[in-house]
Amino acid sequence: MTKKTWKTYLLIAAMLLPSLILALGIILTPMISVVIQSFQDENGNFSLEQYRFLFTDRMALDNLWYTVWITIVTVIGAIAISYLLALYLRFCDTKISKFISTLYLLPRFVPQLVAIYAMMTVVRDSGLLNRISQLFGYNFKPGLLYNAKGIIMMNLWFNIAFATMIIVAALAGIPDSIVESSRDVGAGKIHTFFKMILPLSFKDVMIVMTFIFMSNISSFTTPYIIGPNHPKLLGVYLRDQFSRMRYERAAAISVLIFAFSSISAVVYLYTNLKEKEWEKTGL
Amino acid sequence: MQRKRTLALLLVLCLSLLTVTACGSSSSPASSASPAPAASSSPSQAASSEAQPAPAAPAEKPKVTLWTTGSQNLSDLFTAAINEYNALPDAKCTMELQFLMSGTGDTLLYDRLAAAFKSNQKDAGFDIIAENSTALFNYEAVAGSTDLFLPVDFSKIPNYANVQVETAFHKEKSVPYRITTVVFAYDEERLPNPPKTWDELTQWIKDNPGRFAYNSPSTGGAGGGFVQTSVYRHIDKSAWTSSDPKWVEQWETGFNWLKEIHPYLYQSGGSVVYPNKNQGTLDLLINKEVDMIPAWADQVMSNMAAGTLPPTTKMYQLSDGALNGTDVVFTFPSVGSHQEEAYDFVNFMLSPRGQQLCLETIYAVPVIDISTIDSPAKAAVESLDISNMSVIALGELGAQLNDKWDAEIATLK
Repeated sequence: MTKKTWKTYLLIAAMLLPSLILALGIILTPMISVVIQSFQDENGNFSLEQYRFLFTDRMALDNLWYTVWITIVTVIGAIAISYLLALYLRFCDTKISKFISTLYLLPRFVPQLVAIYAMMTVVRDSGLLNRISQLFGYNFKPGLLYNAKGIIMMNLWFNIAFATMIIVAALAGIPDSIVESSRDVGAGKIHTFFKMILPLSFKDVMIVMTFIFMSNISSFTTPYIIGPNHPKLLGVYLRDQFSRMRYERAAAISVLIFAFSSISAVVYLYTNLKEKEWEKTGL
Repeated sequence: MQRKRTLALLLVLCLSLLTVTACGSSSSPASSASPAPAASSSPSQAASSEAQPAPAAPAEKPKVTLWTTGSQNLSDLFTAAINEYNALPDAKCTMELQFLMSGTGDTLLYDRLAAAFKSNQKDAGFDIIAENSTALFNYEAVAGSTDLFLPVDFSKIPNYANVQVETAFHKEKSVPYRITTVVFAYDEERLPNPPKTWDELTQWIKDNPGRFAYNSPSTGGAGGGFVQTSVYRHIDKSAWTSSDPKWVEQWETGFNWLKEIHPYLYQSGGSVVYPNKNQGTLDLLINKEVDMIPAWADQVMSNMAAGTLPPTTKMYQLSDGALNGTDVVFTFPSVGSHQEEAYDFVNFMLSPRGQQLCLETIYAVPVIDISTIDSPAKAAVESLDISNMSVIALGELGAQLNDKWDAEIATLK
């Protein structure tokens, strides 16, 4: 290896400078000003009023826990379904599995609003399912809109494709030889899964979880269109407060959402670091 | 070795370029948030600027910018009106439209005005504002001054003499150009005998659980109007255009009524639902999930014209208290310029042709004698009785009313 001279470092720094300036300008600066604003009252004086309100007001608390609850259910549901789907796609080599593996990414290419309205025409109480049931003399009302069920269903629809994509990639990285050798020494399917496949893909599962958590804790479009009037998700609540010109409270909600995202970012970093430790000891 | 290093450098170059371009594309929508941007290209914008060949001496005509906010139909209206006006040989100015789709940036229009006003700008590009008169009090409140809008010299708007409507906003500062109102809409086929009074409505809602719905008031004016009328019909008329907090304690009667009807409203998944946005309740009526809703008259007529609502759809008001409506006005912010030339466009909008455009594009109720307008769309509007429409302008109390609704009605099981 040639030694890196100070010139190389300078060059690298110079090349990173534009993106660094942009990042500082359009990400960090607004973020800092939002944090500052969240610690102000309506007259611009320093105050903890906004946070006191968010953690004492009954409606605000309802919104907070509702958001966390929906996000966690979404994460768990998406991971469970995606993992099973990924296992199927990785280890079953049939025509159907090949067909599914070309299809499952489709939701990634459908714009969010289009998907939501499409889903609404199918599952609303007077939608496609209801009309089909009426043909057979029933009046089936799914009751999936304007409540948590609808939001979670829609969240799963969006996130399963993404999660499956990552987990399939992780499972593809597990050589067949490992699975075969495990089977050779007499391990059953379940044993192989828990001792070999799950540990080897665990890191990717954690990464997927943090990504799904982050994108759903701040979701807006889905809950705004098919969510209930109360409790509201934090994204909708934020917009609500913003449109009523309570900018300081809106800022505090943003900071709260950011704090939740940071927690998952810490989990993400921790998993990555832990992996490094594990690699050090050797296989 | 050498090759490896070149490769690494190339990679860094690519990555930094990628970041720059990625950031560039993501920052472009943000740039459109600055006032009077040349590149904020709503489709109507593009259309209107294309249609400005300005054949005769373009340099002499000043450019006047009209700002408005609302649903897509308003953008359609002003795009059409401005195209027609700019093509007039004796037009005194070249009009330009800045349209903010409601729900995307409408809260920012008064912020932008207030910002320009507070920084003492004189030519910030806000030459005319078209807005509901009941919303304009909010503009003044945010700017913190009643000097935000300039007085109007009505002698320079000859067609103003024909206007039959009195505005709810400051009379000397606004020129009403259309009226819009919330009505009860129902399908005659499914509901041959709709309730006539508020008491009959209460009884009808209780007798027909799940067949009535209104949208949550903070998400659309139809539900907002319904809630405001329900609350304020029990209160003295002097409160209707007051933002004085003393009236808050009299809200209880109205809210108790809203609580009373709550269990009998539209349900989905086992609980009562107030759909979001005006379109939410319209969808319920279209899909026959409910039989009656409060809705904007113009939106009902648009849906009927599009065939999504059947021709048997009817609109009406209760005899003892109509739902609220508002006149929509042109105002001239003190942070704009070219007021003299702008009068000419306003004059055009008040002419029978201008009013016909409003009527045919968005089914607006005209502000001049409807018999002077020649249009097949007249019949739909004529049946609307706007004589007893209630005008409620609460200013900052409006947000408080929505808060109270969120806290007391939305949380009911």
